[in-house]
Amino acid sequence: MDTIYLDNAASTQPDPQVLKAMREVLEQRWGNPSSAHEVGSRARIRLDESRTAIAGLIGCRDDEVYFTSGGTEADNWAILGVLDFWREQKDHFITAPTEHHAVSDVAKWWSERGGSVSWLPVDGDGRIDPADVAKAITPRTALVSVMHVNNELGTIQEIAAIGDICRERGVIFHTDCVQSFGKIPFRMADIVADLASISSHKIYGPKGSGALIVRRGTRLSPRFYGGSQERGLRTGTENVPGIVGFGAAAKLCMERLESENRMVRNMRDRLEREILAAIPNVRINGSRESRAPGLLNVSFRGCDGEALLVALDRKGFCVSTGSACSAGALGASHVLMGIGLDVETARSAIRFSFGRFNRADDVDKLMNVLPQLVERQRQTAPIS
Amino acid sequence: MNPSHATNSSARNGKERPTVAVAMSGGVDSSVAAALLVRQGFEVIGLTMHLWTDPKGEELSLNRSSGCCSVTMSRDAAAVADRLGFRHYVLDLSREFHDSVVRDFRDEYFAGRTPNPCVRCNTFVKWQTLLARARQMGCDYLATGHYARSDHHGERARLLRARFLDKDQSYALWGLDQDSLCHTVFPLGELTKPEVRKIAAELGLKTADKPESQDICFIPDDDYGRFLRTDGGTGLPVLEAGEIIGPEDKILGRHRGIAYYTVGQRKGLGVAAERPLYVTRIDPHKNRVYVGWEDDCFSDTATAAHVNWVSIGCPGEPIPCQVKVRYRDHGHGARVTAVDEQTVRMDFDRPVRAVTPGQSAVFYQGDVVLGGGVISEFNSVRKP
Repeated sequence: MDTIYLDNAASTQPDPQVLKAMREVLEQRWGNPSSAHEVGSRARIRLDESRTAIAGLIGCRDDEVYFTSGGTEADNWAILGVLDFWREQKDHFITAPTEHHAVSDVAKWWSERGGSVSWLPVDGDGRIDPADVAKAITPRTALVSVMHVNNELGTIQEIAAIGDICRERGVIFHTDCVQSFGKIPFRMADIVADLASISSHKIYGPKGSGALIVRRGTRLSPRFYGGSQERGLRTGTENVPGIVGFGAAAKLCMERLESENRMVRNMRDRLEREILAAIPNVRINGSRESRAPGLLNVSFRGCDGEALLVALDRKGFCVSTGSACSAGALGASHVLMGIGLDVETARSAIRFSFGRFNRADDVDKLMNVLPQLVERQRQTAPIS
Repeated sequence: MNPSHATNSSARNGKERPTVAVAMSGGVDSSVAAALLVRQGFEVIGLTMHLWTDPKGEELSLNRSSGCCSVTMSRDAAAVADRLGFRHYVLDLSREFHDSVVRDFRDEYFAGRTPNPCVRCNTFVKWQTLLARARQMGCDYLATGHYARSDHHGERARLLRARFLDKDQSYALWGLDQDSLCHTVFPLGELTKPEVRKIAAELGLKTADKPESQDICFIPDDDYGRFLRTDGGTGLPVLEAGEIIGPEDKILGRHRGIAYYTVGQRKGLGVAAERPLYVTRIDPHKNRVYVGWEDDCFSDTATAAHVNWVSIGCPGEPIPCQVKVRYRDHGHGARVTAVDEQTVRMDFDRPVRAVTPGQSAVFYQGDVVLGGGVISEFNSVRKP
């Protein structure tokens, strides 16, 4: 049975060119980039090239890229680093309940530790009104964090408007760009952010690799001490293979972003049309006007999302009910609850996300089985 | 249920081989159950239920011993599934578990009864919910690692005790209905525990040397008082001290709150007397615990509510049977009379010690589990 992977928002298959680049550094450039000798500098060269590729894709300077172990570390560091650095003057943090847990759980921790947190209201599509950000800012506000593209809904936030407000009011603005970087075209200047988190394994690179983009002049404390790597802000010997894989992935995205964007949008739009035509009583979650191109979140009312996921998996289709959780437990999504869905509708949701390696007939194959699976589920749903 | 029956019924559906979802806790019993089904040629998938996260976020503390739903448990189950070559999923049933098991547990304690959460978990979570989910996933049967059996007798499916009585777990399964029973497989019903451990060791299952689980899974520290307080019970009279009333209505001392006491209990009363005293009755309205001599703990008649006739129709006549009034109980001769569809009166042949409201009364004829109910009332007689 062929596996058809429709969960590219969770992770992506590493591109063969990424593997090639990683193999080269593992085999031939395995030195410590900090070493002064030939072996070290051979690694340093690839590290610097990767930094340039990533900076090029997001439109920042090379020295604004700080490599991390991934999006979660970048999010944690951005928030804790800023709140720690400014703690004498400011202790107020503004974010939204629909953020990734790497942001919202840090906010909860900050609040439990006595810091102050404001949660922004979100509308039924998961959108935040920039005016609410303006209202929430106080003289004690250190940081605002609002993600660019929501990982479950695909909704694109008006982060430039939020960034403008923050800059005007002297508040640092962080945005989690894990789901937008390499998938929709944007540059740091467009989004008016001081800090942006990005990740490698969402763009056909390896896991365990990501970066925090720190706009020049933005002050934050390091989380790690004990070395001078990444200008002393993120110390520890660099994950060279991970970074080089990330760089190779960014280079490919640079070349292909527009055509891939079009391709996944076409597949997503067709799947959405066909679901709406073939399956009654569904709800499309997330903004239909302003949404990441490859992502579709649908509630199949009367179904159980987890059971539908398993039924699809058994037919070879990999999808998600929300964001994959580390325990592997599947549950009602905090994002879907956050946009005001009732529990039953939230628990009936499935996220389909397309990517580079999907083929046009994947939608046809999915639609050959999905309507029957939904229908069967609805007939056998437990009486509650 | 036996596999040949399963094969026949499934052949009628025109499918290749029947699919069984195995409820896997990660423990030795359910792992071996899964292994046996694979051997017998069923298509198997493993399901682990995520049931409980401590309100204080202490989920990981469950790893210590017996939690059905800890992260370690689900990883163990996943490892077993991987080794045996079938798919495994974790389902979040924590809402169902809380609503039908945890809340009832609390309510029962507040009503002065001693609940049996395993019975409710089986009835409402494992069968009512998990079986329905399994069927939604396209499975034909649910299997568990319970030591019990089932067969078909005329039109009806019957629930039977395990072949070997020392591990028999049929006591906790009286809540199953006919439809559930017809779609359930108990692969361990004919085996002894040493045989099961041997199979696990032969298969090289990681779980072969795990200790038995005993505690109530959602109270890992065994501190019922803390649990009742933290789970919304603050200030309730069941946790307030009150009077201990002895023989001839004498006040003998103070109790710590009725939730800490159970009928038949001897230890921890903190009352001095010339002979051991036992709890004979708990009155939640007067906040009193009544104690007496061992001879005062006997009943010759009791009532059970919420009755389910699992293997037979509701009998029109009084029926002679053996009644188990707790899990570790050899059974007592009795005449059971249906008062109405959901209530029975039990007249014991000889007085039975410590009939405890909240515990299950389960009616057996030979190996057949006729039905069961929740003990609601009992009379007190002196031991003859």
